[in-house]
Amino acid sequence: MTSEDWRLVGFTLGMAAFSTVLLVPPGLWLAWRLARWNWPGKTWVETVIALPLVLPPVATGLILLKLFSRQGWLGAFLWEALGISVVFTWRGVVVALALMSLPLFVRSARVAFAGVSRRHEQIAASLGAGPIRVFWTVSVPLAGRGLLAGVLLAFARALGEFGATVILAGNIPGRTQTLALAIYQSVQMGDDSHALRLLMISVVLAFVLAGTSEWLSRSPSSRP
Amino acid sequence: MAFPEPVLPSMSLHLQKLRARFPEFSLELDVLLDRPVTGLFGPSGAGKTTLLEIIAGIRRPDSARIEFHGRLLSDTETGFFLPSPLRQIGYAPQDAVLFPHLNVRQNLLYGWHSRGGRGLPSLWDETVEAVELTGLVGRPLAGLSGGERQRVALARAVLSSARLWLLDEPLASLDHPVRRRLLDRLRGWVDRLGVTVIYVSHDPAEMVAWCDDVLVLKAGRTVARGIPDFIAAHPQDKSRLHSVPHDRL
Repeated sequence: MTSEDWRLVGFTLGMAAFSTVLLVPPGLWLAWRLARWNWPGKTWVETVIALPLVLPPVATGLILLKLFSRQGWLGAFLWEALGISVVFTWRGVVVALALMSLPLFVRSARVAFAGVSRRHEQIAASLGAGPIRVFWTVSVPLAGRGLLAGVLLAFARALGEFGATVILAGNIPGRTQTLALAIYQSVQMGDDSHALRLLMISVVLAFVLAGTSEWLSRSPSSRP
Repeated sequence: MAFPEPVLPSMSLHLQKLRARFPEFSLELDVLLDRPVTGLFGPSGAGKTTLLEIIAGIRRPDSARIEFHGRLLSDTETGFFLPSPLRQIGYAPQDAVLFPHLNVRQNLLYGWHSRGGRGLPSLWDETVEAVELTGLVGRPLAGLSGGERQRVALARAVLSSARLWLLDEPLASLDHPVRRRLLDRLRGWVDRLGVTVIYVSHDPAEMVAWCDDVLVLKAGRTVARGIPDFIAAHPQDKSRLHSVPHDRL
């Protein structure tokens, strides 16, 4: 591996980690709301969250580009209020990765919360714990393994993201290029050995993450 | 019949026009519970646990006005419902429902810390000793017996600085000498702290020995009320009832 390969791996891992850190708080809240309450518009919200899973990633990227360009309402606000530009920057990479990984995390977390006994939460509340304390001291720890599996799954998804990232952040070596984008570029340029090297790194990372996520999502008794 | 007077005045729990329909039965009650310790007695499925959970704010009745010591807990007519955490209740459920990710000590202190308590509650030492958990406080829950789990749930409710204890067969898995000893200690705390207790048990002798009032439920309705009526209704238990203190008979 060359130093450039290491830098690329470091950048990709860093972007994936940052996007995961950003998506977990809203993802936890959404998953909790979806698992525990019925409210008007719930189905609508569920559908919107699932969109990045079913839309072509480049289509999601295009929606993000429209939103975050300086003519888009979010992009205009960020530029005028904070002087922040998202399109064709590392921030665009983070936004694309976070949005594409969010549905996977929300789904895992929702299943994990649904598996937590309501009775434990009710008894905690009867002992004086408010909803926030019940959430952090009972629901999250009891859903812990499933939540961790969701975090790993989201992180793994972020590592491999391509379509939305290339539209929103471009494929700029040294600035916005991730592992997936670099593989694509190497193939396009006919540099097969470089593409193969990056492919092997991707396979190892994906294997470790998917395996750990699968292991965590099983109950301890069914683990080998 | 002479009942010992509590040191502090007891609080009253007023359940007015309580109606709750479930597939198996419906609960219909209209009672004022104004003694320190009220026993709930009745066959399985009579609605005892359901009633405790309605008082605790875990279940919502179809209609009811519930007041505890002048404080409104629930009034379906006006739509008022005091959330469970604000009801100042210490609930020890029949199935213990301990928090499996916390150790014994953390379970015991859960209610105390939830209500803003710092450090250890003043009753800590005597409660842990009374429920015979002194050697277990640092242990994880795994490996605790059913009786030990029940004692943790009971002590958790006692230590939660609540004003109303809802104890659902908290001693069912324990043998008689331990139960008797624990009930004596509980009685001492009730009288000292001035708390109100609703106590569910299937043991008639326990009802007479420990409770100041008894409510007998059957299929969600009150079929008998008061210690004298209760004793009259349980002649078959007379030999066991003779083991209770004489001043209660």
